[in-house]
Amino acid sequence: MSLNTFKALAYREVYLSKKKLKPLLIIFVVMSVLSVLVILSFDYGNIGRLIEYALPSDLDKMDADMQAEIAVKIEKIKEIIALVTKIYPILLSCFAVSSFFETCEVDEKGKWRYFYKSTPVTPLNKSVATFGVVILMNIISFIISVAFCLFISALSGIPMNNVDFALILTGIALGDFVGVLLQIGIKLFHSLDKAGILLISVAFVGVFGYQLINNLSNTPGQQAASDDIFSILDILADFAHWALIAAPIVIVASVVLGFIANVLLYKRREK
Amino acid sequence: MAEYENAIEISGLTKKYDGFTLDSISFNVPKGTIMGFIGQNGAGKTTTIKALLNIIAPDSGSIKMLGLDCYENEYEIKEQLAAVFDEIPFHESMTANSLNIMFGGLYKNWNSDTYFNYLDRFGLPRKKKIGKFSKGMKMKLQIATALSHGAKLLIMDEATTGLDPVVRNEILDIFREYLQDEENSILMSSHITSDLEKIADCVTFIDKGKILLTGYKDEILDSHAVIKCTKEDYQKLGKDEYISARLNDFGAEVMVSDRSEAKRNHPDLIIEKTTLEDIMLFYVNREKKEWT
Repeated sequence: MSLNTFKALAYREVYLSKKKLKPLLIIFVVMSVLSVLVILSFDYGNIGRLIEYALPSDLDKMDADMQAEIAVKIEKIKEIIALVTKIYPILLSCFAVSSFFETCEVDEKGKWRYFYKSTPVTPLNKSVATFGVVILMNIISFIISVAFCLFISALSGIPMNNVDFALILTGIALGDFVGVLLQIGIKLFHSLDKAGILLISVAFVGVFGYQLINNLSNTPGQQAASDDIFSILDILADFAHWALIAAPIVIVASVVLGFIANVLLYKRREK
Repeated sequence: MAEYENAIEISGLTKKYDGFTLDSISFNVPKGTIMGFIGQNGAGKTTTIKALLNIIAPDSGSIKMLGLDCYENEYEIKEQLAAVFDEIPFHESMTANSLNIMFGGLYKNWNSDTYFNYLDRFGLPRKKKIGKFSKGMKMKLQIATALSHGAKLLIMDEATTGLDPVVRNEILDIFREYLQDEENSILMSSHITSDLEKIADCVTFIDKGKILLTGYKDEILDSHAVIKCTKEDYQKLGKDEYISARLNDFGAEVMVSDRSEAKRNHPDLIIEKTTLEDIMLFYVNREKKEWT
């Protein structure tokens, strides 16, 4: 495949995704600013004051151990708040990749899918360009998300950890998986709505399957998870351990599956 | 690319659907000519074009374009091929400028100067989104892109449908220029027979998946004629002598496929020249034999 062909097709993918990327970028910026304001509010504003009001009035008279325990809890609350504020911008950044998959909906509905067959573009060329852009978008999303997390870390004093990386990789994995399924659905059914039904069906089967396995593997009398809000950090730490292995696999598998499916679906002729 | 006599050679092309069959169609488009591919809606014109572009897989038959096998040399052919459809296939948010950037990478022989010359000639804006173009402007833009990469073969599927006569005339003039280089050929499917009468060198008529006529337009028009006669005279004609007859209160118009023979057999009857539109109408009603 010539570089010019790749550039031309990649140019088209990016050009047509601009419409969806622009609002995503705006929302990302807005949510990032909100995140920063929330962190600053914890240290200098109303959230910090709320925490102060919630503290026991006789904190100064408590022993050192008690004071240390409260201080740790305050830090954990700050960590949870910092984490929550990071989620939406990270997901937005990672889901930007789905805008490239949705351009194929317009292609399938219009005459482009016939016109493209009159050009010397092969199915392999087209798929290399599409997934080249997807990989590039994943890299950009990763860099933006890491940069954002580092910024929040610098502001909050809470260092980046495995949970942040796990969130970012999970967001990218979800974005790729959803995008690939949507694209396959759109090419098969020539409709975004029907592709959405396919996606929901797969998600439903996945969630149902997970719950079933979970229920079957839970032994009677197993201790229920703690209701303590601070346990969320432990749960996320466990999640991060699993996600750091699974998410890259899902990303690679989605890209490979999507690439192969694209080549086959572009090669396919109408009946 | 090797030398070739026919820009398109279709032989025994068959495609079966529920309720419709493209039935072993065969015709050639000689190099340097415009072939008018006519037929009513649902006759099989678009199905044939889809087979040429490898959008559908035929059940049997062979296709050669520009002297090469359509499937073995698909991408080599497509470098020299351009297709124009009844609706613009480009995304509405794109502009003429962005199309230039895209096509510059897709075709080895893309010529930006030629493209922008056509844009200027057609008065098309370079930065305006395609979605805001009128139908005529969209068609001219399609044609500008089709003619800007040195294509030897243009395939047009109902491309002039819905355009006003002024725009259609402009487009036909462009095609006349395109064909001045006798290396270029056009296959133009349409049911607007007046356009094809003006410009086509050859005509292929398809009806219900079958090729009824194919050949040089002038020969077809010369060989066919309409006999205008009374109903009594019409009754004297043998069923094998004519294609079909249009009856009215005053008499009959009867289409024959051999004007000379008709003149010899019926020197007393009025025998007039015909048009492609009449040929289409009379052939479509050939099974009924009589119609009004």
